[in-house]
Amino acid sequence: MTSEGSERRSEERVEPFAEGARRQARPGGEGGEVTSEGSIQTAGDTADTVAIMGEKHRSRWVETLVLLVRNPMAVASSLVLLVLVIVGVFGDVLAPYGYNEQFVGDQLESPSGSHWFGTDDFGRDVFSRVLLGAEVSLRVGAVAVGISLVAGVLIGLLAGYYGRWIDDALMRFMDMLFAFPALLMAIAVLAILGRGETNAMVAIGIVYTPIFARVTRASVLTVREEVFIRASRASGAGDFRIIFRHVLPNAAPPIIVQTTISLAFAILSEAALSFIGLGTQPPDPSWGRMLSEGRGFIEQAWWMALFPGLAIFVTVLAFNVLGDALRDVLDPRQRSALSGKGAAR
Amino acid sequence: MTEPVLSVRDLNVGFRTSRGLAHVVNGISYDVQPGETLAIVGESGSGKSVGTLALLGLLPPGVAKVSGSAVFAGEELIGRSEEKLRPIRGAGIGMVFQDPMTSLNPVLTVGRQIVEAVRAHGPMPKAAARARAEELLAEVGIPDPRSRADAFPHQLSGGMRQRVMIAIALAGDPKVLIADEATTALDVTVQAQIIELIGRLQSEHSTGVIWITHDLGVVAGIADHVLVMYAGRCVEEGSVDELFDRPVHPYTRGLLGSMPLVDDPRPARERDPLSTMPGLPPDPVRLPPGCSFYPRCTIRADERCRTEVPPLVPIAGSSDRHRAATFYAPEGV
Amino acid sequence: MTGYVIRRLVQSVIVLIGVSILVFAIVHLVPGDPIRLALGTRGTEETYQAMRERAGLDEPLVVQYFQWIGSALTGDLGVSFRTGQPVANMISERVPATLSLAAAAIVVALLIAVPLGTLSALKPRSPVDWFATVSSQAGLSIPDFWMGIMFILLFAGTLGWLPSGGYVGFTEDPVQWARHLIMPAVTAGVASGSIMTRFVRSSVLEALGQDYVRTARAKGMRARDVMTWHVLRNALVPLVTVGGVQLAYLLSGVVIVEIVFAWPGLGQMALQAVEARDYSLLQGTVLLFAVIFLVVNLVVDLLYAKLDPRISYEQGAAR
Repeated sequence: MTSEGSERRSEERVEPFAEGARRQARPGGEGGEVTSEGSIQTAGDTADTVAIMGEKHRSRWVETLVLLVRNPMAVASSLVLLVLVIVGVFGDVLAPYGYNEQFVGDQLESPSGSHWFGTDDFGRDVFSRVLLGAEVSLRVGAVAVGISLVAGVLIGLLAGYYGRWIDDALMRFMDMLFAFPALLMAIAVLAILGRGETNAMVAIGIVYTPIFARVTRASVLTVREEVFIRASRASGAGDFRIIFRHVLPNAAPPIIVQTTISLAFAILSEAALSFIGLGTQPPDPSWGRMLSEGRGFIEQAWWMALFPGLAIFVTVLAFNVLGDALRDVLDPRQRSALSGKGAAR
Repeated sequence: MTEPVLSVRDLNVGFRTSRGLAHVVNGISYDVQPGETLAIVGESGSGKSVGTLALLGLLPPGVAKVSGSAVFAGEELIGRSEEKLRPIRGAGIGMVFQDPMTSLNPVLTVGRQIVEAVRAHGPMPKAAARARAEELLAEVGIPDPRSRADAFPHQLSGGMRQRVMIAIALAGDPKVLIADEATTALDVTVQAQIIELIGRLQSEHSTGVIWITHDLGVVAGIADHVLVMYAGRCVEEGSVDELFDRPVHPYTRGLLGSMPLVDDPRPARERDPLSTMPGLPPDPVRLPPGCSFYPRCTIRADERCRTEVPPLVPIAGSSDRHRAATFYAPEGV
Repeated sequence: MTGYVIRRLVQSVIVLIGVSILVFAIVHLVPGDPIRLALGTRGTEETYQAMRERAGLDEPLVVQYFQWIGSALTGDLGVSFRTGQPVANMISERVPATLSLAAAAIVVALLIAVPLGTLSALKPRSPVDWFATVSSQAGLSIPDFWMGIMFILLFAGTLGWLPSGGYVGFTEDPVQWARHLIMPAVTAGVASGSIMTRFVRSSVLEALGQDYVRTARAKGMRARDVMTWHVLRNALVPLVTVGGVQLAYLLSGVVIVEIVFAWPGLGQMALQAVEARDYSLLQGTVLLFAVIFLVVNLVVDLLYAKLDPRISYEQGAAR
């Protein structure tokens, strides 16, 4: 083995820990878990390993799906998210009233049969506004994560695949972005771009780019030296082809997990930005915005702040739980823990 | 014969797993005499380490199920509470583990780790404990113990670390020392030094030693009595001479390379007996109803081996401490 | 060790320079004239010219950067485009409030994470463990600003136990200082506490399975001593690094918690700066946050190397 090879390997050995610790920092992600069992390896494990290898021919994605369906938390959170998406898409049809429909004389009504979540200071139906707010939350979250996903994965691929100074330059730049508290950076970006929903998407997108770059780079490093990639390089395939046909698909699982968890935090960030008045602008029904309006009436109308907050909480929780379940399934170490066998070894 | 310092009878250890109870140790019995060395031999997973960890209650409590009897200096160990086992640990029975790198705490100095062992059994001023720790380091042959005591484990060589482990084990002046693969992680010259060291300390303190290993070369040099384990059972035991000269059980004979193994065309001296024996040990969750070795046995005698567990019985023509668990002892051994 | 310290210092300086360039860019990326934007209709042409002069906005960009960073190094962050006050003074007035809040939030996070994480690691799959898992998932997902509002509703409104917001200096009245601090600190600390709970759990679980813990038990040490010196000592050392990196997350939370509880700290000021289009003030605040983050992380890494003697050794060998 060349000295370069061994150096790289030792770097990778250090990496997972550093990466894990860093990921703790930003919303989304954390270090690996350790299982309580599995410390005692018995001969039985060998037999299981053989059994598991027999199942390998089933597609990885089918296997992932099977494991996910077996996890009640994953199923429950997926169902919640499905309901949210339906509400997001068909909110207009489902909501009993329009988001800006005002019932004069019915201001600050407490929850009742006609207004399940009460009414706000303009006499608008809080329930309808919460339902219609789902669309704003999901859209802003999805677009923002889309931005960071594309930018971060691209940066991570380039850094991880080419290494050397490209890696250094890109990752140091990501370190710089990482040095700012997420919300403060979003605030600064919005100060430059101006407030509003679209700019909030961009700001959140920038904030969560470094984490995608790091996750992608880390998994590219682990697959870069695998035999099939070396083989396609040797057979003269271009870098572009190798990166998108071979490296990316094999580095995908942690990126998928990160995407799910980042959705949770992007939605949280959108709500926070709208809460401080920099995100979605009135009269659009954003949960964060409704919460800040409700804050002013907290003594008279607790429902104005309670329900939008609850909506944010449930949505974020669902993405987080699903992200955790995905990690369990897609991270091989976790997978072995899940099926209670030492399959990874 | 003197009174044994440790007497184990019908020891069983099971691990609760998601698939059921794994029978890791099944009915092991042995005696350890003061100043004598008992070697327990077997491949990894044969239950040889687990059996000794169980004596001191060092297995994970919710997972391990231990039964049988182990009498140390007149006191029963099995079923004792954690707090009642504590005085035995270190002071009664000391342990040296396989990998001194992972068995020593990386963030504490070795001196401090020895001091902990010294002070674990009764109050002692810090300075006195420190002096005792340095004394112990000197006793296990570490030069310049005063400054070495302030070293962290990663600053010492593998051999030095194992000497530190031995110093820790000796701190409580134990009557029995369990050396669990104590030389496996070391290279050959260091291995010899450690074996010699333990031998010297053993004769000075007349300690009973349980030497757990898979290395028959080590056993031949140091053991008085040998116990061969397979799938948690004792398949053969005897004095070192009896076992090496007249192995009876097909597994022992396979280990010693005294009988040809199938599918191995290489000459005997090139084979590593443990790795070339065909097949794998049985799944401890589903032990075969008969002889555990039956699936790998080159004799494959008959239906009886498959359905009936052969008892451990004395061998005709040997001392009554030479016993084997096989229906088919070869004639005229 | 020395090599590690130097390498780490060099790394931090490089990142710091990059961060300063990013922060410097804030004022220059704003479309339009930042000083006119900040002054709005107020201020005469003379004040405008004076401020422009003072900010050196007519110099070439490179010269401006070096002037800015040069004075920043001496503690001069320029003047507020809005009020003309020195930014450094405005910031230093706010530092104690933010610092008390951040420190208290870390304490809250540790008070949640260490006992809960340890207990759940000691009894995996027990009700405690289940509770820790569920509550940390919830704590991570709950919007802090909403939690803050609900706290105000409950503890300030309905129960009337605590003040709903505001800040009292410690030197003025320690009791009031503490009473005002409780709700914001809990609100800001819950999310970090949740992340750290998981970390402590897996860390303790890992430590419990280590060979050296078995060695310590085999020595005959008291269970309590084994726990303190071999399990927790080793499991909590990595927590130092997480704690450091947690700071970024925590400071993020502090910004919004300050807004919820009318806490006169830097986060609140940063938002006011944005609303007033006071870009020089925003610049100074953002720079301070980034510097705090980088310095704390540097200190934490060096501290970690001290607490775990293997680190500098291994990283030295790895590079």
